[in-house]
Amino acid sequence: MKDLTWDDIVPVSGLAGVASDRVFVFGSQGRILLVNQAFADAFCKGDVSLACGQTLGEVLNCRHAGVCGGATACAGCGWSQSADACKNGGAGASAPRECRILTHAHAAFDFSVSVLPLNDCGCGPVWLCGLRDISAQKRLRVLERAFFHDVTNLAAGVRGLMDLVSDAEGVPDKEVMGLIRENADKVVCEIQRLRTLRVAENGDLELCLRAVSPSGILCEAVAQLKDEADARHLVVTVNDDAGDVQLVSDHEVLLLVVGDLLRNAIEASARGDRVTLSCDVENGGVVFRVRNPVVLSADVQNHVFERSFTTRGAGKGVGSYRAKLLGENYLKGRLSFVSREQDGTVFSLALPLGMPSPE
Amino acid sequence: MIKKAYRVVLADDEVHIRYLVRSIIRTEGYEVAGEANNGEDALDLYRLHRPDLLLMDINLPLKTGSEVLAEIMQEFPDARVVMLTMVADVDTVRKCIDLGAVKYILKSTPLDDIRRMVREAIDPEATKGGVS
Repeated sequence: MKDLTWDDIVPVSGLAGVASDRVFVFGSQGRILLVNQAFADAFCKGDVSLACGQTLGEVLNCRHAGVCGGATACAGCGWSQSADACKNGGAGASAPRECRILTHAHAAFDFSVSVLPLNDCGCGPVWLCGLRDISAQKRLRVLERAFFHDVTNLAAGVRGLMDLVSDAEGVPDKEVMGLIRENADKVVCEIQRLRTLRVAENGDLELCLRAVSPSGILCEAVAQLKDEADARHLVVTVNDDAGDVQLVSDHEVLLLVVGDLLRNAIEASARGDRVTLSCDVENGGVVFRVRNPVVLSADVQNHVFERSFTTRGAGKGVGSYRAKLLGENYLKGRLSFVSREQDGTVFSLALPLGMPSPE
Repeated sequence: MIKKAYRVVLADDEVHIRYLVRSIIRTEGYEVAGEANNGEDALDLYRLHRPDLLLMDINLPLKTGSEVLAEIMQEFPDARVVMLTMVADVDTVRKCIDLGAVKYILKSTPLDDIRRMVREAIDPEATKGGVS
């Protein structure tokens, strides 16, 4: 069989934009025969010959690469389904499918996969596969679902409470007015949290630097999440060993980061558990720690900082991702965690006492 | 005829939702037998009070509403449980109805409609033929 080239493929496929999409051609055994430059740039360090002879799973370092298409997990893989469907023909065989590939290096790829048969290129049965990166769309979907759920919940509460006030005679009850105010504040807070994340992801977040009390941040975070902790009968303690030390940082952003870490700790905890927050002066900086006794599974540990990953069910949770983004890219700290039997799970945010000057 | 004093237990982890539902229950003339802010306490309160109606959020901490519902229906097959939900998660709602919930109420429903749905749930005979 002659070597396959794009000169054989493009006239047959009639695909416009082949050069800009990540495209490869594969044979009946699922082995790659040809890739375009965009594919090579994304996955093969620019070398179009590197992928030839390998499966897609091998190129992407998929966890199931050794048996690409043959592992139990492959039954749910969009790439595997697309390839099989197209080889077998039938209606809708070439319809795009979503594909999520988890790698040995704990990275994740989210693609929309399209496979087309190439019948007339004179090289035997081969198929053309296009991969479109949809990770940004998937992340946005997760974020939107969480945001709309939380904001609708709060706004519906405000409306219901306002109806109560309207129906009541005389002076409105102080408790109901307090709840209306509290929920309205939370709506504003949720919108600001989303805005902060979106602006930060675009690299445009501007910090408002001032002297910040580490112990004050811990106490504010605990106060914000009191209801959530109470609902689980948790004991939340604050160990403040930083004393009167102050650091120069953005108060709101730092509170958001510590709040995200505390919320995660609360939601991971079981009834009556103890969640401990602390801040210590170490190595010329301040280290915030949030500890809970529950050990994360190995799988969860591998994905903690991914934006579209959550243990809270569909549509929930970007907290760890946001804490990492804000804590490291903007507050110039380092966020890490350990999770083991003797310690439980401890997230640590190490911050410099003063923010480095802008370069 | 003496009107029966129905007793209701409500379970929701949101303070404002508990306030809302409590107000509705009281203005309808029912008694709030107990309130819980998590699933485990909801189950304990149900066992303790055996109320005429349990109004329960689906997304509760410690034990979800559907988990609590399953346990209650197993122990008390005649229990009347209404699920409260924010988002109409079709699969979860269907699961709760299959488990034995009498209905579900979206928390974003206007107050008057929630009142009517609570009345229907607590005493379906009395509301038969009524305007809905």
